[in-house]
Amino acid sequence: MPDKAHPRIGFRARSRSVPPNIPAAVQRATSLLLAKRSAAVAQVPEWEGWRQAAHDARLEGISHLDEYIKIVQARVQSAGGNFHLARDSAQACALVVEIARAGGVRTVVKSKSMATEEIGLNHALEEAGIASFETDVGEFIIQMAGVGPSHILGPTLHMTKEDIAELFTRKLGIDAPPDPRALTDIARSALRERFLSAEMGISGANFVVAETGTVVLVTNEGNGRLCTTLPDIHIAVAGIDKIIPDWNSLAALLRVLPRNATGQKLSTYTSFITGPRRSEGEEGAREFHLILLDNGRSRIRSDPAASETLLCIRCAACLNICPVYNHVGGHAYGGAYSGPIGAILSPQLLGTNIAGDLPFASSLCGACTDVCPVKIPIPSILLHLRHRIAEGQVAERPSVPFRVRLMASLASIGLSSPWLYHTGAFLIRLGQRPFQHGDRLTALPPPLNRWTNVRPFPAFRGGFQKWWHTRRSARSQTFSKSQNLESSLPARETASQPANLSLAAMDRLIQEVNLVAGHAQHITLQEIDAALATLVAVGGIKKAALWQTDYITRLALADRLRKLGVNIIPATADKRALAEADLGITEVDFALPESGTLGLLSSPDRSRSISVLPRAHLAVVRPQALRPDLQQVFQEAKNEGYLVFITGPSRTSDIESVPTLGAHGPEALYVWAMD
Amino acid sequence: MRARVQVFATCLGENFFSDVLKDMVTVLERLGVQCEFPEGQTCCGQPFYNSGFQSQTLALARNWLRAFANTTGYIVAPSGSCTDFVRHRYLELFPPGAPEHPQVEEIASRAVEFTEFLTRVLKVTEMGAHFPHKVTYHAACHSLRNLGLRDEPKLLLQAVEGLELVPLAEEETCCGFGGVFSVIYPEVSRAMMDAKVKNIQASGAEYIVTNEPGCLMNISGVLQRIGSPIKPMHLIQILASSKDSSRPSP
Repeated sequence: MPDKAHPRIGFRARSRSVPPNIPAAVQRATSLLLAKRSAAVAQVPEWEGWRQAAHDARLEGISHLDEYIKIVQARVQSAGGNFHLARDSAQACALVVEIARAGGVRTVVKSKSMATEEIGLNHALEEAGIASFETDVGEFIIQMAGVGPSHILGPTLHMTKEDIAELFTRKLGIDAPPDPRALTDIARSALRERFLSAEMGISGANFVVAETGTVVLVTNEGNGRLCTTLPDIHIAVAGIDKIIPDWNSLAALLRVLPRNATGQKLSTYTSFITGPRRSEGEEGAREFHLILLDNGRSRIRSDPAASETLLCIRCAACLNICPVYNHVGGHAYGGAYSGPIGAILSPQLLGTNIAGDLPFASSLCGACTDVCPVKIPIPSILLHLRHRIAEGQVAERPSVPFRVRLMASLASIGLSSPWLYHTGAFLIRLGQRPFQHGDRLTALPPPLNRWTNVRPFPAFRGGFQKWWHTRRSARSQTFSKSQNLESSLPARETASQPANLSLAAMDRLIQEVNLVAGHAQHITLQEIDAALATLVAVGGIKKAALWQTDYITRLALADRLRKLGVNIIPATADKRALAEADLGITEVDFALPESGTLGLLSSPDRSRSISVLPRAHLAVVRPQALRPDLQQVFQEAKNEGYLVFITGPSRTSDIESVPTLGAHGPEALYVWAMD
Repeated sequence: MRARVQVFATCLGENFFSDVLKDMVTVLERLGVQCEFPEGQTCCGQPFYNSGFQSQTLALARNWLRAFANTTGYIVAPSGSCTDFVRHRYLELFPPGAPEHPQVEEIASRAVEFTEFLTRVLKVTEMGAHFPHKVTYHAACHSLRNLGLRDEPKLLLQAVEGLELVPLAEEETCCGFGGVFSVIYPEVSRAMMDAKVKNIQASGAEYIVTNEPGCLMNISGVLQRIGSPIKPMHLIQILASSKDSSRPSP
């Protein structure tokens, strides 16, 4: 929706009309997320250094944005993709509609994206007669409910499972039980056909890496992978602020984002997409577009006191910790972005005349800044915006009423003169008597009744100065102890300890995969048949699809499965046929023991969808796939057109924060460490 | 050399908590510190700054600087919020290049919060205080996050003879005061406050203690409204309690 049409956001009216059950639902979810974050951060002694590095990486991108935008454009185009820069919401929406029409698109599947929420893309597509389906379980639910997201990560955080069951029953005409597993399955099956038939997939981007023009998506459910793999056309819509310089910056950011957001070392899926598919036999979109969205971001950049707003990586930790957010929920903020980041971002994107209430919706407690992984000075930016709203700026008139400004001027004159200050305090002590009950003022006239309606105000009482003067003249001063007060305040030191790397890499990988709900084990060649037989029996496997890499072929897994009565779907089959597989088998190109992460590339032999469409995924890891850290993998893979990181089975926590596996991707992840 | 400090009374302290200021002077003198009270101090300007009226803050800040110019030694306040404001935000109000900037660097950098002064400058926690009661502690936001005082106030409380410090759930969550916030959005402030008071009641303490007048004003107001027997106190008042002094109920 275009900015001009946005109605003024009245925070007080919205925060007063929050249904009483919402704070409880919100607090249950945010406290869970915070507990997971705390546990993850506690494992990283060098956390403060990581935050600083993440801050620096983001600042570099934002500081030289104009140059990086040009680099992104060049890299995306040389990778065979299309690059667009949209000035505002209307232009971004028009671009998407235009691309869709040119491609004869009737149906779009969308993965979760705050940028497309910001520009109101679904509405624009709908008006153009194009069906647009949100596929994130949470977004699927709120699209059905007809409301915006109430949280950056968990759009449905304010809803109970009963609310969702009632909604499904009403809208889908089925009998939906209030059970997260059943509700997730309903969403999964309702959306599977959409994925397979949509001609276009739209995603956001967590990061856009300038070095190679790569779009990075951090997700858990697998819908993002399906949206960017199955349809012929993929559009990524991202704010210009999502650009980061290079893959080293990416490594610095990927280690803080999931930990700070959900307490995961890495989210289940991290996709790295550079342009369209590179060869005919390969999976993935044949047409790729990147739409970079300005929509007020350049304006934010040009205000030095607020430009760090753009460092945000949307982890939502500031929402989780914010006492204001926890009592009002996300919808009170009236826009796509809520909580402390929404309170500084929305007024800058929409204008202080529309969202000027939001910077005042904070007690300035500072908890947000403490948990921010990129160290955005949120309270300072709130204060700066309050200043713009109260006193105006070159290009902006103050939006605070004249009478308030007049009162502030008079008060400031009174308080900056000691004589007026003391006289005023004296007069108040006389004048307060009618309102006084004991040592309290219980009912003050407006606007001060906003305080006294909630709790009494203490009565003014002087006395210190009188005491001070009487006492000083009455006594002779004697001091027995002397202290050296010139010593400066000691600086606080933090010790950091080297990480314990005593476990063998493969053992560590197995351990970490199992920690993220995967099933990992050592397997020898002799054990393959027995292990396969168990897997087939346990998973009820009838059809399987396999990568065609040399190693997978050498292991003769297809023949072994046939002997167990399993049908093999050729890897070259179309997506509908592949979607029928119960089991997908892949090799692993990279393995990161520290987080239990598997890195998979794409080629005609390496189908992208085999690791995401089936209910079960078996990944075979050889020791030569092991890498010490993200930087090493990025060094080797950054020029590939596609890379995906898999850390555990597909999951969602969108329904009452209950972790539910198999949201859109595999419910079971088996990892065989080949010795 | 005799220790000397300047009392920064703060406007909340002077107009609502004169007993706290008296106790602050008493405790400091008991420790051998000589206190001086610069005349002419009013309000540091924080309420204006936090409401967005930065240019209106300038006159107040200049008055504060005038009051503390030509003084020596640390400037001690019973409030972490006011201390944080003059120490950190004055540098933004008068950035390098402003005529007042050198003065801010010289004067405002001497400002310390009371518990900070005791634990980091004097390096004392034990001062012969006696308070045989069950006490719980609320961490004030600006002391905690902007001055980094997480353990210091509790160390002081733990050293008080007879005092039993019981934990407060969500000790570090804001009480909902927030200055101008509590007047602009009273309903949200109230929700935050109610959560705080619920935790205070659940702690089983007889006293709720904090080192911030703003929080104290907010919390004591609610406790009074609901008729709770739990008594609010400034941390300084506890440190001033001795075996001989019979402390009047606040």
